[in-house]
Amino acid sequence: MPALHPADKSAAGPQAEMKSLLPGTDQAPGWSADDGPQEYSGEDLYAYIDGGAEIYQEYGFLRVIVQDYKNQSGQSITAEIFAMKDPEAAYGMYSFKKSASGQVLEWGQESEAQLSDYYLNLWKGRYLATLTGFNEDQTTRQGLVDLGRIIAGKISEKAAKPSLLALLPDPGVKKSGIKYYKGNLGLFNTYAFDPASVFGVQEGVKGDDEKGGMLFVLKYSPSGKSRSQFEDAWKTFAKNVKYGQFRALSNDLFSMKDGLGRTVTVSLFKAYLFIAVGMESPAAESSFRLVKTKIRQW
Amino acid sequence: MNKMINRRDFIRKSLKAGLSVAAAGPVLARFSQTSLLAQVKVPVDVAAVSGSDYLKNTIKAVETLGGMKRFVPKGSRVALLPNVQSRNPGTFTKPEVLRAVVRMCREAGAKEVNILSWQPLKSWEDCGLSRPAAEEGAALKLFDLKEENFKKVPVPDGKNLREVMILNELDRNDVLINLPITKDHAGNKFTGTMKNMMGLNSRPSNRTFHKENWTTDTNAIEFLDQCIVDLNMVLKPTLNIVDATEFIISNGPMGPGDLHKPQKVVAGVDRVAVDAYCCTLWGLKAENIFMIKQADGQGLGRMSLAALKVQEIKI
Repeated sequence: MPALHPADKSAAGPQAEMKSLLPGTDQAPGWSADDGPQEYSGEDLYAYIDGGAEIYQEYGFLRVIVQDYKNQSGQSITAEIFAMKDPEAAYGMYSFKKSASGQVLEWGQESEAQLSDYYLNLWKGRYLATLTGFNEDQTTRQGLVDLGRIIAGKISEKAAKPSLLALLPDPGVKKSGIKYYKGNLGLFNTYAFDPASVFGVQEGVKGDDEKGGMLFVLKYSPSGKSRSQFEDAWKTFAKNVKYGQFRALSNDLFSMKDGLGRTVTVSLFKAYLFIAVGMESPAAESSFRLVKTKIRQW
Repeated sequence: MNKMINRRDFIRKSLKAGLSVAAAGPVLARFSQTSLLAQVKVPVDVAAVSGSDYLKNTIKAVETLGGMKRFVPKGSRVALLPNVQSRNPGTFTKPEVLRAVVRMCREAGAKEVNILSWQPLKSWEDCGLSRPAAEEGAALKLFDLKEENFKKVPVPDGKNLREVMILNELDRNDVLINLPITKDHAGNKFTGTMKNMMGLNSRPSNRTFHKENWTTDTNAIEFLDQCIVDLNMVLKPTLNIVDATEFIISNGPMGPGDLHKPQKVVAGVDRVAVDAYCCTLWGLKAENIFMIKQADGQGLGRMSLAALKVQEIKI
């Protein structure tokens, strides 16, 4: 009987599946499992990370397994492997947790990993793994990479990144700044529109341009919902004292200034809203045209 | 029955002061009466001390407010509330800050210094806080989440909450010193003095701060923040000392996240003022943080830094 691939052990139940993704002792040279793993699922996530659970729930959290590793010098690394409801949810949560300045590690087309000062995030399939060291020395950072590679190798599931990412202008968008949203809380953590729910986010992406401007593309279903969200946002911002210099540029386009004096431009196109923050209107409209071209080509 | 954790000798030593008779009066009255707050006059509203020695920063911040004797009467029982929510870097109150505060309370003549928490002992050990607490003579008083350890406290002016569930043990103490770390929070962007009060409220009660249908409820973030303000209407620390030395500005409250290192310890009596100052350390504005704005509007404190005396010192 052929041995089951680690990720095929889902037939034995989700708990067995999660455990099979953990590196064993000394699989990563010098690092051994310290005590047994802990697992949380559904609402129990609040017991593990308190108020930090909401963003995971917004994306679609299923379960997490947590395992500590130690080396002979007493240094430790905590590995958390999150199973999300689908690959888009896992990618979204990965994009949320990514650092703005980390190093992207190329581990294959259907996977992505980023190494920051003392932690590593990894996305593959419907899994997100976060490995946290407790110092920034080279031994710990190498341990993060070694353990991360093992976990990536144990995840057999493959999936492409969310298709909406393809609408971001390329080149012109910094990879480290890319975010994928599945709700208002994700968007709120990038840019706090007032009120946070003004755009009723269902699905969206964000990219940063080289000059520090942000471009958001939000998609709605059914397609008519984009018009009602646009009109609600228009009415809300036109009378919101936190935003100044509100200008109606056309039936499907308006702009305003936020509290830091940045221009915010909002445009409606089919089932989509485009939002540019920190770009002057000509640059914003130029970006919008690029996105419209991509939508037409889809 | 409260559970006293004393597995090791150095923790056992810190408990030798023992339990005192509970003071008379309604539960938490001494922490909710504005008269107590009004009695503590301070020369500045916010003291922010920066430097590489976090213990010295903490001492200097309290000195700038007039010294610990201004807040801790001789013979009093002092409750401390540090944050040990997570052991990830930049998410918990630094050991040096805690050590300095315990030391100052002892030197001011405190009869007892009690660290109150419903987090398990492992959290305290993982964060490196149990040892300095014991070495400086504080008692680490840990409680499990059984309902009998908490007391129902009405919130008469609550906009969202009618009651909260506060650790019984708090009422045995005469002074409450709030020791949060300021940091990002994915739920509402910011956490500081006011949010740290959730550490005295039971977990089931804290859970009600998050709406059940929050993913579709347009007011979910404001609901959470208003609950925090309501909680703060019945819990008013004598003094707030905030670890703003090194903290996460993403993926809060548990991390891991990007670390910001202003190396500051910030102290003040007015929680709203302290939070309004702390949020600026990573580019936020108090008027954009619902919790701070609401607390200001409800008279819990003042958020306009232009109208406050802020003293910044570099050591």
